[in-house]
Amino acid sequence: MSTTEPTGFLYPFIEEDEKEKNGNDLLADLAASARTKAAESLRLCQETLSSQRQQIELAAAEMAARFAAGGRLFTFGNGGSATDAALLAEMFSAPSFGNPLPARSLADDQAVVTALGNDIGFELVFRRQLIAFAKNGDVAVGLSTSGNSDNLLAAFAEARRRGLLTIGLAGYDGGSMATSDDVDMCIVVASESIHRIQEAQDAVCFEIWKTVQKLLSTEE
Amino acid sequence: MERATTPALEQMEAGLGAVADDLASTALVMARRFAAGGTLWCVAPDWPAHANHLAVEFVHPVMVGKRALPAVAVGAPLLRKMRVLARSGDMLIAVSKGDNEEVASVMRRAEVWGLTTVWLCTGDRPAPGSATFILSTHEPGGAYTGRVVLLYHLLWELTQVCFEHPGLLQEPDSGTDGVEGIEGFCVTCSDEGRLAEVLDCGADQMIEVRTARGREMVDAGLVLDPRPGDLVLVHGGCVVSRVEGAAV
Repeated sequence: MSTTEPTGFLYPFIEEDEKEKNGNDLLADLAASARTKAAESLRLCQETLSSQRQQIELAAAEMAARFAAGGRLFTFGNGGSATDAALLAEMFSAPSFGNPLPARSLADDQAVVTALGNDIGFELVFRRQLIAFAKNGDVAVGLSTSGNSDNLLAAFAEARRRGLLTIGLAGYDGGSMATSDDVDMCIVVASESIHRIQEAQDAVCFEIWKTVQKLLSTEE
Repeated sequence: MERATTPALEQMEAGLGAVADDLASTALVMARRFAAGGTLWCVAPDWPAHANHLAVEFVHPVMVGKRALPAVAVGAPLLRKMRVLARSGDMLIAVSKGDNEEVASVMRRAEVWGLTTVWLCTGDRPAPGSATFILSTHEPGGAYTGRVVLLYHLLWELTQVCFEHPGLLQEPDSGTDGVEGIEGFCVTCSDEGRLAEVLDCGADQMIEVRTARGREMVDAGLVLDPRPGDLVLVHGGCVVSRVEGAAV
């Protein structure tokens, strides 16, 4: 009950009615907002898949060639992008149908991530792992919404040095990843909403996976 | 062209439009539970990364100025961990396929413990009543295409909007211990039939159970061989029937 309205006690029912009405208004507003944002997300996913089609097909073709030659996929990102990187690796390594392919996410191992973060600094958590694991012919895919994460840029530089194919997924205008010489191809989701960018990046990852699967199954 | 397998944009929009009202009601109830001190437990046995993603949205909002809310990703073994972590008034959200038995079981028990449950599912919709709120997407591969992520992003956004209306954050009715859907009192003894999970049974006829109200001693003389973990119906201080055997 409100304590700011000194005469509120005279009209307790009005206040209750008011509250209920406002509650219903709020629910209607929330639902409308959800519909608008869902439509935005779907449009952005479709626009990205069509505007980035060439890049996606090129990335998939290069990845398929490396998988066919025994290469492996390393994925990485921070926060929500780390979970998207995990889903991408899982899509390849444990697909519900199609060929399983060697892939893993570099944020998965809490011992490795916290040891590196604590001992040598968070900007090196992915780079140091690539020094340990990566071989010529492997693939590095990094996901960022800003395109500017220091630990991703450091990882791409290391991956490039070791002969990996480097693919970046970024939002906004692509940030530093779009212009970096260490990134072979950068797929950009042209949006300024972190949430909408992540949703479209998932759609791009799924499209890449589907295309790689198709290429590898027709090759046999 | 080769788009045949991708649902048309209009069809997807219609599907997401239909879930919008449910998202709104879910968000308001979640905001109320957060405001009252509840924690959001996030599980996703089919795709653990979704549980992590959900939790980080709430704990570390991407928008500056939005409030950090307690959300935690929980991995296997789900039921055993949730049994000790969950408190009455908390929330449990699961991201999984609609036919995931492990999720169905933990959802059922979470409601008994006094949690609000949200099932964000792909594929077939679970049976009505499997969770307080069921939010579903039928899109094939929805867990990977960004559609599942969209649903929990929206849930986060709408929950945050509710916090801009502090007057609406009070639970409208506290008469049922915060347990939705349990109502109807016995005309003879005026008690309710309440679900409970058996905690401990000694040699005695009195056993200890957990309900949304906490721990209680009840008479189990009417059921044969109750075991810890059983779900039972308690009425008038007695166990009147076993609803489900002990889960893992």
